[in-house]
Amino acid sequence: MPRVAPRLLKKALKAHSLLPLLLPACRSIEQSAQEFRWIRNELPNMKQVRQACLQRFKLVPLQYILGNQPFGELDIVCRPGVLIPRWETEEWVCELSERLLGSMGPLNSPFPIWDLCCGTGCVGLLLQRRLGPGCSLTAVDVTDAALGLCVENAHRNDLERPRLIATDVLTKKIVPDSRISLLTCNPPYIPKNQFAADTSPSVKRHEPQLALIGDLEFYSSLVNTWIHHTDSFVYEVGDRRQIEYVMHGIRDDPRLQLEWCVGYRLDSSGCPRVVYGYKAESSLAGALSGYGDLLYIPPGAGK
Amino acid sequence: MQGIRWLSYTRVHLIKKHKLPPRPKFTPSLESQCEEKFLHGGRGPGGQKINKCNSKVQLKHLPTGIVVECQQTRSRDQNRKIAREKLALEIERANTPGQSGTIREKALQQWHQQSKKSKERKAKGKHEQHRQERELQELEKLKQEQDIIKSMMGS
Ligand SMILES: C[S@@+](CC[C@H](N)C(=O)[O-])C[C@H]1O[C@@H](n2cnc3c(N)ncnc32)[C@H](O)[C@@H]1O
Repeated sequence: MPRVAPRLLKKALKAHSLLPLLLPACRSIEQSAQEFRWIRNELPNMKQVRQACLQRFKLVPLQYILGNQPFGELDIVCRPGVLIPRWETEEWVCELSERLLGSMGPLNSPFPIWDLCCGTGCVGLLLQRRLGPGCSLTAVDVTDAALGLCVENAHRNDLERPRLIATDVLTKKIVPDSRISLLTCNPPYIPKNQFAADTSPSVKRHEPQLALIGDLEFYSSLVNTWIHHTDSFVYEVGDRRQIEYVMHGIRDDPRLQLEWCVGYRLDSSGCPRVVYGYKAESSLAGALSGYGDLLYIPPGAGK
Repeated sequence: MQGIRWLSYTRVHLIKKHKLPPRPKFTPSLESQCEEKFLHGGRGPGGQKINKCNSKVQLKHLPTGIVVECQQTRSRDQNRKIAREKLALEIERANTPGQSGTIREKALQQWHQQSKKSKERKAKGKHEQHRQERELQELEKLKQEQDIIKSMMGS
């Protein structure tokens, strides 16, 4: 349990008898008070508020306690066993959808999106909401808990039920039945040797390791397999190394280097957050070229 | 004599609730004059390694330098909208001479006083009751608005 200064505890106690319980998770009085307001607003009675604060004291994520997390204009149901959507993800998905809409308008030709490692489904579902019924979503995850939640979230947000595929995306077994327009993926990207030291206690204790621990294997399956089925991709990353891995994988491949542009994006805290790519000839080039900073452009391709 | 009432020998034009000056709007042209920042507290690793439920939006109106912040809700989307409402209000206030609030706020205050007086005066017919309910709702809204302003001053 992270230590909390006694001075802070006293101050919190003055504000409300339950507030000290939130300090270990929130760290500051202001943040604790904020969370306390949310808890009070969303739970019907004091008994449940108390329960919630006690759980929070054990560092259970607020989203598991309250049962949801806003994601763009979607309300995403969250449950233990499935990773909670992060603001960094929300940020790049929002920006991506705005770019796509801005350059293509509401879709009228079919636009197949595959969201790998879908978890709650937040990425694919927000794209579906924003791009409209023209896009058809296929959601892939290895756990049934995630796929179940993804359907529930489609339903909760009045979206068409996505097609679900329960499989390991690292095997080469799935061959998409038609060409993918946009491939998105937020794979587990915390290297095993960083997990213990760098991951926050709440995440370590309460979120599924299967959704968190991973490294280059997902980016390797992108450049070796998935890329051949799609016109564009957007993958979340945890560090610069993962971006460079994808960039090299494309630049050093005799076929891919002729067709693909690769770029990256920082999140609003300044951390490397996304590696993306598109075929220079594809109709998405206009929308995606300015999405981040380009790292590689095939010879002969104009900007 | 609609809309006019005699008050201590002075003729006063009544404020009509539905004819209040509108809430200041955040226009697309304002949007282009703003710089938006998202503050998530500290640098640190982020991403999957940590799960923060707060997202503070900071909006700066570059021509006037007015800055507002919002982290009222758990939704970044909502916070962005609220920040825009706050900023529109602040800009309007800055543009209103004197310091006692925007034209709308003054009108609301006046309306509030006027309806208090009329409440004292009038008998409680059924019609009246309805009207009062509506009034209460309006007052509630007014209070909410004042709360927003207060919380703005506070944070
Ligand atoms: C970081 S979470 C992302 C969830 C969601 N897309 C989001 O952004 O919040 C990674 C997800 O990948 C799934 N996963 C892990 N390994 C996988 C694999 N080999 N094949 C398919 N899915 C996998 C996990 O079950 C988890 O739901």
